[in-house]
Amino acid sequence: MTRVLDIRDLHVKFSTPGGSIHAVKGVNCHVDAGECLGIVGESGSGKSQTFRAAVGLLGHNGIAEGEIKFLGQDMFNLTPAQLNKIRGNDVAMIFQDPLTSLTPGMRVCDQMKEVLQVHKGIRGGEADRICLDWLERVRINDAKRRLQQYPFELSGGMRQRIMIALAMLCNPSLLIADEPTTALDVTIQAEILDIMAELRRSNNTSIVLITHDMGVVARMCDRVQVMYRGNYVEEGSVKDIFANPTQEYTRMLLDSMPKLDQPRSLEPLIDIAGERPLLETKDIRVSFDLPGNLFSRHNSFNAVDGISFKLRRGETLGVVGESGSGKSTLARAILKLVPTSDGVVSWLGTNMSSFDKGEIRKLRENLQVIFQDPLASLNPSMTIGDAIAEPLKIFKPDMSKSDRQDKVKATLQRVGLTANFADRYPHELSGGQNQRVGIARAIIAKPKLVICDEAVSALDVSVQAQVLRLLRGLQEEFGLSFIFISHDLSVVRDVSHRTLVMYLGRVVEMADTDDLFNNPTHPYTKQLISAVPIPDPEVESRRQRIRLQGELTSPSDPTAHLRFLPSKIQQNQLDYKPRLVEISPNHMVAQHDSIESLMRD
Amino acid sequence: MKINSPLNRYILKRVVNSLILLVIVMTMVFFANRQIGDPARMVLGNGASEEAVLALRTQMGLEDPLPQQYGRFLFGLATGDLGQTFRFGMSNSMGQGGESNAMDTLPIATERLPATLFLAGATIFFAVIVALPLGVYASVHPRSLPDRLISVLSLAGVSIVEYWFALILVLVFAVQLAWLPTSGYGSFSHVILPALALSLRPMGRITQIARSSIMDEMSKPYITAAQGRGIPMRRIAIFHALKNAAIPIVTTIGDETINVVTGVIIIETVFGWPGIGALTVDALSIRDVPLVEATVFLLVLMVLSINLLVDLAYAVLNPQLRIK
Amino acid sequence: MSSNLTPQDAEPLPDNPSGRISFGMILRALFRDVIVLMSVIFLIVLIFSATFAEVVAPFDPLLPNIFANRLPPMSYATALDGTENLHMLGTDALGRDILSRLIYGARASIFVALVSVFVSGILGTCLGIIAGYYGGLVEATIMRAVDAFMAVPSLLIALFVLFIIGGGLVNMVLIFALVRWVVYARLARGIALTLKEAPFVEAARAIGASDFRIMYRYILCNMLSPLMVLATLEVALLVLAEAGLSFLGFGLLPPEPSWGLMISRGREYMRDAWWMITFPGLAIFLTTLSFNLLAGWIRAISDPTQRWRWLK
Repeated sequence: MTRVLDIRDLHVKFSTPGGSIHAVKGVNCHVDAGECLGIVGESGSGKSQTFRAAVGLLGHNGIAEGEIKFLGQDMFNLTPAQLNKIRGNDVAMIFQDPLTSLTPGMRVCDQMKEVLQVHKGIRGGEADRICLDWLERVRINDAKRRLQQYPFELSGGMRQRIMIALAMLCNPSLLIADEPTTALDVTIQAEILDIMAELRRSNNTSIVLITHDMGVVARMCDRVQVMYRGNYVEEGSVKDIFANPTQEYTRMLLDSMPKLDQPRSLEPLIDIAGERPLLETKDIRVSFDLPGNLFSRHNSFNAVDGISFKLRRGETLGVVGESGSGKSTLARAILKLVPTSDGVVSWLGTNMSSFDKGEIRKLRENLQVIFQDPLASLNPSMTIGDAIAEPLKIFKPDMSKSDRQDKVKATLQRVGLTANFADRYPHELSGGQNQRVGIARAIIAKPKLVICDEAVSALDVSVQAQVLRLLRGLQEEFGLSFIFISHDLSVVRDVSHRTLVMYLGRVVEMADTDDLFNNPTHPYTKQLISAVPIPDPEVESRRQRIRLQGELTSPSDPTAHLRFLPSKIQQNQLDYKPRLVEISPNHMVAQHDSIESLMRD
Repeated sequence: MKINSPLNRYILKRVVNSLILLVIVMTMVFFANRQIGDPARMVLGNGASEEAVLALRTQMGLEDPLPQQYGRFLFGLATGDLGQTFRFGMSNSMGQGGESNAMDTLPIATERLPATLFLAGATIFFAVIVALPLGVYASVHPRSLPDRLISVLSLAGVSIVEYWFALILVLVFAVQLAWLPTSGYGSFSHVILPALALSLRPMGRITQIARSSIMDEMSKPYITAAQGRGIPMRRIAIFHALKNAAIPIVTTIGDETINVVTGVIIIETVFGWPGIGALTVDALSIRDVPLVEATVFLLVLMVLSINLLVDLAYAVLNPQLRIK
Repeated sequence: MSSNLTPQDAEPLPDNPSGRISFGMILRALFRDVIVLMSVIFLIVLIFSATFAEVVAPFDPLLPNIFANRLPPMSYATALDGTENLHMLGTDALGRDILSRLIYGARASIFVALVSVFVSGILGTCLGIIAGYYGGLVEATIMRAVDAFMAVPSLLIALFVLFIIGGGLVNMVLIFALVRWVVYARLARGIALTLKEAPFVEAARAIGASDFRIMYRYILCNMLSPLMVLATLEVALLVLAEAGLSFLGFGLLPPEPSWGLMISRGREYMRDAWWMITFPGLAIFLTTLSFNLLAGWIRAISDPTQRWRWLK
């Protein structure tokens, strides 16, 4: 078997503010023809830098040492011109963020034809034909029109397809994909992974898949190499590593990931008869104006379009949905950060819209939130201690300064930080530490309900596991309720008593979590669950995937809400809204057509 | 091309916006001017009798109610009639009722426009052709010796005292060396010193912005992605980065052109350049209110046109404006 | 269930010292950059001598001596009271000491610039934050006013208004505050618009922080460094503007010592008394340059990606 890429004893150093950083410390790695190698590690593991060094894309402050052979050539001894001949031609890269990786202000066809012209000298009609052909191979709909469009006109999924087409134009022998699906929704991730697997089969392209997601590795790769803080940890066939990891770190990574196919340890909530629900929403709607102008009327669309649920004391309600599903808007509506246009939100049985100023204050004290980006949700000009004390200053203005400081210290300790963090600033802390600060701020005033909006999504899996454990501990200790909003089905399943699935502002399915994941009924729920990669190659190879027609529809499309009920479109009942039907106790499903009719041929 | 295309809508919106601004500004000028004092008294001088003043006031329409005067002012604005001057160019014939000597102000001011446009154009042209290569060079060789030198020089350019520097230039090149005329208007050699004095500030600022915006753009992920496709660096710089880096540069060139239009007010006085700036100062110093209104009108019109041109340039550089 | 976390469970505390910039760090950074250090020293000397002009200036700036007019630098002259005086930078057309006039001129220049920047900065920042934070009609009104001011060159407005209300120190401060608040308003509104959407502001609203608290503690506190950079640049600009207006005869009135006036007076004699325009011009240029250098330096040390190069 030919060796495509051979990396020997690679070191990468960056000269930075704080001196030199040793990002990669003597890594060995090789890729054979036609194989898919997974590179796994958390942030700071040096996994991306290894392969950027391999193709000479380190940036001006990076220095690489060691030996890199690509198809027998020593990559460190090439002139820029020779390197340019190889890049894009024999080895191609795709990156995490398809928006920033495509040149803005340059049409898709110009970017594609440029590659053909530079590497193959092909121009004009011949080039157009090849570009169109590739766009069709990455299954972009309406390929001809896409060629004439600019990146900002395309969705994230389409952009990533174009990145792949761009990379594959010259039939490279190696494709390096650096977190290619991290920024994408699960269903789109599944499709992108399918396309990559297909290209690998049809073109015999080797793939290096750099990812933090063990599930993606299990689905795609033959071999896997684990990295940690710039060091090689272990390497082997996917089957072996997943079944018998020899290193502690690999085992920890595998254990940290919540898995859809394994039983979970959440104690069921005991129903207390006659207890008022803590929070109840009835048919709430939030509508946003779409910007109009001189010539067109103002349009509006419902980001949240009629959602009803009840939340009991001590319960965790999981809210799952892809981007554009309105799950974050729902959170903001409950928090009264955006106004609801319709419907009722009741707190302990009282309609929130009737609250006076004092009651709203009391409500805010009881209703807290943790956001996704831990650093961005802390005021950069406030110390950690000030940030955590902020709710006390607002809700308990009479509290003495020393009492407040004691409380802050105690809370810091409760979330697993030490008291000396209080004088630090957010930018000095790691993501996990900042998220603990966010949690401390949310719980210091002893709220009854905390809304977690993608609260663990930005964290590495091992940190994510710690934070989830912390949240669960706090729930037990204080009897907190959570609304846990996430795009990550495995995490939601792990923490929630009940789960609600959203699509374009509407509920498609809601049930007790076990019920929902064991007997998903709505086609969308089925598609979502089947799209989530499971970190077990055995399970992955046996799984049946459900692929529905079409992409996520735009909210401005007037028939978007009928995507799973196209029979109503055929009957020309365009205003029909699918109703929720209770198919078994506590299991609500939106009306839909049969799944067979919605499946892709 | 469709009439209702996004680009046309964008342009129309900008034009309408500019016109609204023009009316707001001229309204402010109109009301400010009413605060200066009695225009009729100014025409006739302090010695004139009350009857004569009242007669002239009636004749000038100053006895009408203010809304009516304002309406007439707006109508005049729309038809290009900004009133008459009773003072300019006739300081000797003052005293006896000025109606026969009255001249329309707008033509007087418009007549001065070409000279100002010529000077401002030469200044910006000179600034841009020097600043762009310097900025590009500095961005490609950051923290090198030439880069530092360029940084210090551009800062000095930004800090320049234009009229003082102009006097020094005159002292050296016109008086001592006698290479160039000290002042006046006409041949190409007349424009060199004023344009040079005016161009150092825009030159410095454009250099600074060109350097930082190009460096900014070249560190973006899409540049790395294009490198990963094996596109040569020079090609990346020209076809990928330039268009985006140009947006802040164009903004700065626009802002600086506006500053030059301000700068001509002083520089034209220093060089005796027969432009709109010198006219403004003259009109102000003889307290000729209608003429001031006309020159302010033209200066504001120039500023708004420059802004409009910059907005159009955005539409060329940024397809998002053309499509959405 | 062992859900209670111990401190050992979390990652270690980073060992770099607090991110707060101490005065010592700034001082040390200053000493590393020679050019900026020189301009800061220049500004300190300038502000000091302007404040204590009565003590620092060798002579009365208004005292003419027609027997000693247009003396070149470093010449001696006999004063009216018979003493022999050294005029280091020469004398002007009325025999007044140029150095003394420069020192008193600095007082006018710096006073006008600093006070105007202070007034317009506070006014513009408040209006800008309010416009950005509240949006809607408030924003539309404020920003329309900003656009209108931006459409007319500031110097032109200043000329126009000074022409109406007359020149002088106080009027100049008023007019500069009137025309320059817009730059702060534009900057503050832009930043407020971005910060308003920032997760930490949303978090503050969820906590129940009042609008005032958010605007002050969460928005204003996070735009101080760009505001400081802008204010420093504006001081430079206003020093130039004050001199320019006085040069044209619309600013300070003679015999008041002002740098711009000195240049315009010296213009008639520039062919044979070069020092009469050269020194005031240099004074304006160096002051402006120093403030511009200082602004660039403040920007560099407050930019987190560049700060390391200065503060360590």
